[in-house]
Amino acid sequence: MKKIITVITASLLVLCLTATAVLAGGYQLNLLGQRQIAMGHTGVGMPLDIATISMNPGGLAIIDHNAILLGSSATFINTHYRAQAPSSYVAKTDSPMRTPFSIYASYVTPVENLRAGIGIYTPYGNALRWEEGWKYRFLMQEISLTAIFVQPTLSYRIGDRIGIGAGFIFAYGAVNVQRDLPVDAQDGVTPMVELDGTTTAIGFNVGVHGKITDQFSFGASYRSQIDMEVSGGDADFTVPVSLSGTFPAGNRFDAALPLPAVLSFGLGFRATENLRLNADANLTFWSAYEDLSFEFEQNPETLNSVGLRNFNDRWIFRIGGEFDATERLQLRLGSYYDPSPVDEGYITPETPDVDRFGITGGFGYAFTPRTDINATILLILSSPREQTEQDAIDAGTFGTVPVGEFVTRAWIPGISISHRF
Amino acid sequence: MIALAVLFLVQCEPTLNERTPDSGQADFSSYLAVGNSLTAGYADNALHRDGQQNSFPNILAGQMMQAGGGEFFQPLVNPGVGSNAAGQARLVLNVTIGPDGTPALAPGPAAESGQDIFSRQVEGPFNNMGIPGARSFHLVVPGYGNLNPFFGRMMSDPQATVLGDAMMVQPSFFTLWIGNNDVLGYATSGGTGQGFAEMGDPEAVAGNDITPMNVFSGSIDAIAGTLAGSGAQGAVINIPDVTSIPFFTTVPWNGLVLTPEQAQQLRAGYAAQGVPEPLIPDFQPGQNGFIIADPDSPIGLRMAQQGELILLSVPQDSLRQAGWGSITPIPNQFTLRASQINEVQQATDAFNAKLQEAANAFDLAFVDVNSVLERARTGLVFDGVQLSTVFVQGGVFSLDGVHLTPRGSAVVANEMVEAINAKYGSTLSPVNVSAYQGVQFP
Repeated sequence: MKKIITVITASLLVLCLTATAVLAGGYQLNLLGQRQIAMGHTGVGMPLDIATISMNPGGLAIIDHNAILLGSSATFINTHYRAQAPSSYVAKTDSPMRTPFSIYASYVTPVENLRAGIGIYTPYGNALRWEEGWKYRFLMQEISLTAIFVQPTLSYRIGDRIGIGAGFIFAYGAVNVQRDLPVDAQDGVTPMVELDGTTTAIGFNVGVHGKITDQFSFGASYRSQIDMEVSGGDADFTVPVSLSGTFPAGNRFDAALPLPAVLSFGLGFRATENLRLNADANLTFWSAYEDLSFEFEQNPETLNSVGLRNFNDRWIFRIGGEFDATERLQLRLGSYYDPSPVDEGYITPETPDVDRFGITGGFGYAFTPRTDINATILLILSSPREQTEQDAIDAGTFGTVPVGEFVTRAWIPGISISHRF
Repeated sequence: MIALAVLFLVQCEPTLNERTPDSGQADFSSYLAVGNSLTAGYADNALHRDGQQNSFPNILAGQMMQAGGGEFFQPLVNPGVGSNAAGQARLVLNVTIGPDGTPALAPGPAAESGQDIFSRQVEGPFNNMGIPGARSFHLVVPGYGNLNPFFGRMMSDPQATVLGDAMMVQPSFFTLWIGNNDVLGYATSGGTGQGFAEMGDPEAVAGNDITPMNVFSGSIDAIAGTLAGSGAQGAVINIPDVTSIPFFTTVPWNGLVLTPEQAQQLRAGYAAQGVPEPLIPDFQPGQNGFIIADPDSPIGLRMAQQGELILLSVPQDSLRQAGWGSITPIPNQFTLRASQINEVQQATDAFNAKLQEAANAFDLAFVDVNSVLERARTGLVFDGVQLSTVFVQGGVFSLDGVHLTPRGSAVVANEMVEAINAKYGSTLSPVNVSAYQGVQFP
């Protein structure tokens, strides 16, 4: 194990020379279970604990105990921006720490081979605050996006080898966007708009898990697209009195943001009694995110806006492993590659997106045969990415997207506790 | 493991380092700005401290300081409402209640009278030698401070010339933006002075005349020659066409909107005054050209044509209530007729050709602000903010419709940065346009 850590250490150091860190393809979080995060966020093909409720509902069928699992991560994300040469301008984000969480509970029902469970988790989210008065303050100053999924789930084992599962998703979403308005006030107060809305929506999550041999298992799952449609959100304008006709008080807005569907495949391999290896792939159907439009109740002629997004579907590839160091201690490592769904020309201040390379590690420790904790660290690395004026012109987004370079670094520690009974 | 992770975090600092601007072959150690009100930071019809602090030279000097530039001294007035030559305060946007009771936004003086900016002499030498009202040849007239209080308040001596005082900073680099007033005096007075002439005498040039070409050429040669003759590098800036300036483009030529009855009544009214039928303006329902005075017309008036300009100085009350533009012609001093526009544009083209020639002759950078403002007519986007030459909303021009807002100055400063970098291989940084204000709303 020590050797593995050394190898990973060396590769991290090499990466650090040319790259830095970031979080989250688009606004996807992929922080569904701490044990899985530590293994490169794999587990679709090998249900190691009841976080499989979200990752692959089919895997719940082979878990033979009641359990609860509580986990949370803390996101520390810093994005830097540098304007196009020869500008000496740089800006940083001062993003608030967020705590994406997951809560799972499972129940072995009296019905033979039938398991029930519930998951409450946060598969999408975004929190970004640019330094006050930054270059693109008229495009975006601050965004907060929260999506909480509540997913009651049933899973059924067919014979000894196959489990199938399905969950109903009730989703709650909240969005808050703030940006400065390109007008100036005599009283010196910076005119700005704050858009705030919440909504709910429904969806589903289905999966299948199968044991090929005693060593190999596989899984596949599909979580449906959920459209978060904010209707009648609050649009608060802080503007000089003389402009209150253009930016009316008490205005409301409608907007829609898709939380894309995800198709996942996983392969599990029990190499030895003490070593488990996973390989997963996720296809996120980002192409559902074509534009972000805001429609206002009052003065729509002036205020309505449509921003092109044109995201692309993207595969994420993941590997991870878990090694039983002692009877109580498990060590985990993993890695993944998460290419950006955003082409140059469509990079916005709310998702300054880059290709990401994730490196994960962690451990689990069993205090008792029934209770254990998992601790995780996730580092997300990337190279700086540039969006040129020509990219924006070609994409038809000139004037509505920033021009320059972005880089983000993120480190995301997490912890969970589970109890089986 | 976690200890290792922390170690990586320390090492994985973002790699986007701030660029360090370089002066290239240029020497920004002593920057001198020579010019008129546009250089002075005059805005909203007055010289005031906010405008001075956001003058394009002050913005540019700030960027030069990142590349070896020195201190930049401006003849700052005290904070306040400022003053124009007539002692009036700067304009601000006010909410006014129109005759029909609807609120409207209109520029008006910020105070009953301007601040006294002239009685206290400020001590130079100054890096910003922008003198509001100055024409090209004024810069080399001894004792000009006795004629122009904006120079009077800062001259080193009663017999000083602007250029002589300017040279006291021993410039290593200069910008020269002069020539606007050589045309604008004529244009803003509605073409009531002498039009464009090849030859003339500087002594005989009145305030409303276009400066004769020989006077302009000689002045530019003398000024640029003196500035560059000291070994200084620099940039020459050209002058914008009147059709880019909101003072001339805000009031539409065809703003006379009539019902069929009104059109009929107006025709009948002119007929009743004995105007012969063929000369009666062709009033039609809908939009009509305003009726303007024209000494070349047999009846002294006619309908304005497309392309002709009604000036922002036209009293709006007279247009709305006193029948100006319909019953009564809009007087000469508030209009530019096609022939007068032609004079202005001929002069602008000739002056700009001369300015470019001077830049070439003295191997200086040339900044084509004229074409930037030309492009701004259809709208420009910087940092996600849309700019145009539209009055008030456009954000480029201040409330006098002629001078720049801080945001407009930032755009101009960035054009200069680009031209200077191209000429001298420097890497001066442009400023963020979004950091500067346009017109302020109440």
